Amino acid sequence: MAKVYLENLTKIFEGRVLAVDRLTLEIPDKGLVSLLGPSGCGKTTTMRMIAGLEVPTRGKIYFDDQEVTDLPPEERNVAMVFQFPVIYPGMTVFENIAFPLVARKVPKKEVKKRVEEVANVFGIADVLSKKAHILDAGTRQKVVLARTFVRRPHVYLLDEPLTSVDPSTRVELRTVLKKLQSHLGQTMVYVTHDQSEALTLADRIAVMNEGKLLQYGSPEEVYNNPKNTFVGYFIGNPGMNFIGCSVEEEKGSCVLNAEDFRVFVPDLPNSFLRDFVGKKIILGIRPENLEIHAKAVSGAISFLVILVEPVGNRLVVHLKKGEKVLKAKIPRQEMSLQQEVWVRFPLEFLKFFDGETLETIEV
Amino acid sequence: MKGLPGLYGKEKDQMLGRAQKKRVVLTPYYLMIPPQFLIWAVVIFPLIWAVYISFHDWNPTISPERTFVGIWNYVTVFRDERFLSALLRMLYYSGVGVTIQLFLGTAIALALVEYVRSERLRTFLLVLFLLPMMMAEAVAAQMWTLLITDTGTINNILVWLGLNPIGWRSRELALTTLMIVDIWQWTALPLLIAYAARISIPESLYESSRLDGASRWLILRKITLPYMRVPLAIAFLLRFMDSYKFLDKVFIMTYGGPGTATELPTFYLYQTAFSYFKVGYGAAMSWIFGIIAVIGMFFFWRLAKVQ
Repeated sequence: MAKVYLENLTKIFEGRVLAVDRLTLEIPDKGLVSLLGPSGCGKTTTMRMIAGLEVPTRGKIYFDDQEVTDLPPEERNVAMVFQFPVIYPGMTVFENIAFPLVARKVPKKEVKKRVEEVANVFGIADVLSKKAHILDAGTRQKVVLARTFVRRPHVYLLDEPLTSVDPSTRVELRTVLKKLQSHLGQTMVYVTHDQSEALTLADRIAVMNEGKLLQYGSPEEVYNNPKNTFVGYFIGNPGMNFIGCSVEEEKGSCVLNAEDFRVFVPDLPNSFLRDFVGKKIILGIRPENLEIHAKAVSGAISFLVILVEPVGNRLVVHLKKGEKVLKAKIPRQEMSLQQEVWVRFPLEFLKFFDGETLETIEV
Repeated sequence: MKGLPGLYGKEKDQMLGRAQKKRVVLTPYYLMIPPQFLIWAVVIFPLIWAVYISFHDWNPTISPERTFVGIWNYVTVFRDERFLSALLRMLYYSGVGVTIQLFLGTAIALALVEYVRSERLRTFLLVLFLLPMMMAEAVAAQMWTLLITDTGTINNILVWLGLNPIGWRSRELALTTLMIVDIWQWTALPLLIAYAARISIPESLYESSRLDGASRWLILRKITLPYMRVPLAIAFLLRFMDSYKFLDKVFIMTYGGPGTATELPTFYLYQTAFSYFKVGYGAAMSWIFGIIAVIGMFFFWRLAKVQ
């Protein structure tokens, strides 16, 4: 139950490895924020600094208005789940879950009540008397989650908690976590490299790469309006298509010349592209927003199907024209290799990025 | 003949319709003869010989004659106050001594990991603590003999500090002095084992328990010590076995004295068999001493049971 504020947080390991670079981030009270990024982007280090397990090289950490930068972990009242289940050996499941309560000298009766309550939520009430270390990885992680949720910390920190869990349990636990978080109204930071997990769980997503915060916003924001090509590529499955083009003017319209094909951007209230005439930009479009037609339609460009991947009730189709390859995500249908299809780029879904900075061009 | 190793079952052959033949493979047995011979010659035969001797009264310096006395030697052992008090001394010396070694060793090992951050300093200190252990028992004993005389270095230091000198080799203190010297020399072994056990505990356990709000004391009790239980039990056992057969320092530093103040069972045994040449009686005593060891070990394993 606290707002977490990170101010210019920087961590340099051994004086040379820059893990987190001037990160400023506000995690609202009762919010569920996901730190999303590829391996080595600094998200776990950020998490460990919030927990107090790493000391920041520079910068400050606040819980509400209290600075906690120099507080040891045991005095911060945060709860953390690690990527791999950390079970206290030799203790039963009950003793494991009760550990944080015992550490806080909660009366025995109360401990029993709360442990049983939380064990029911995670569906492990039947193994309470078993030794925890003999259980399988998925159940062990449930024990750890139960141990985390048995108390009310200022903030819950979850570091890829579902990686070591098998897929069916993962979906189940994701739901449990989401429900618990909204039910308890607790602040939660969720580290993940799985964008679909971030999109389904979080109120807000902080996308990180190479120690820097790239974008911070609601799932819709980061999905619909990626601030740069990295965010566009990282969010979405598959990520956004990018086509390098040069901007040309033709009869009052704008033409994006991608060498192998040209995309028309008619009637220029799109005045923002005017400034880019003669320059390189990057056109971005999500695979699910591409229109695929079996027959030629006006404004469509012909592509060749080179690969078809079925994903549930959808198809991811790899399309080629010249040197350019695009991915399109379409409803399941007949689609054969080397088939010619016509692709339209719906104007409302086009994103434009600066060819040099790779940052989005504000419309 | 059925059931012998290397023999094919008659019924099995019949069921398979094979011609009945007995094939005994003997090669493994031949190969075992030399080591078996050695074991019987130097271990098992002497043991049995000792049992035989223990039923006799025999002093080889007087005559080769052995007089059969039945279980009289065994009865005498249990009525021998000198043996019983030697046992009590051993209980004090080993029980207290080894416990202190284990406690100190564990404490130092944990302190090294917990408080010494510099890897180099830690290694240096570890080597420093190990040095006494590298010293030959006899050399250590000789060195300490010189240090603890009434006008020896240690008493000189005490006087210099304005304290009274201590009679380290007096009747009251001699056994404790031996114990202290043994602690000085051997604390390093449990230390080494405890150190190895401590650094093998995953760091995530400590991180997690700190986040759970556990105090250092609780972490020590609930995480560190349970994790180190088995290695520590083994360290205890190793040291106890050593102290059970402890002889060198007694021999060099006190020779069991003053009087019988530092006479431990091993030393008394040695005296009986090889100084007084009561060989039959010595054999009986060593059997009893050995059986006590076996029983003690059995109970120890049950107590420190590994799950």
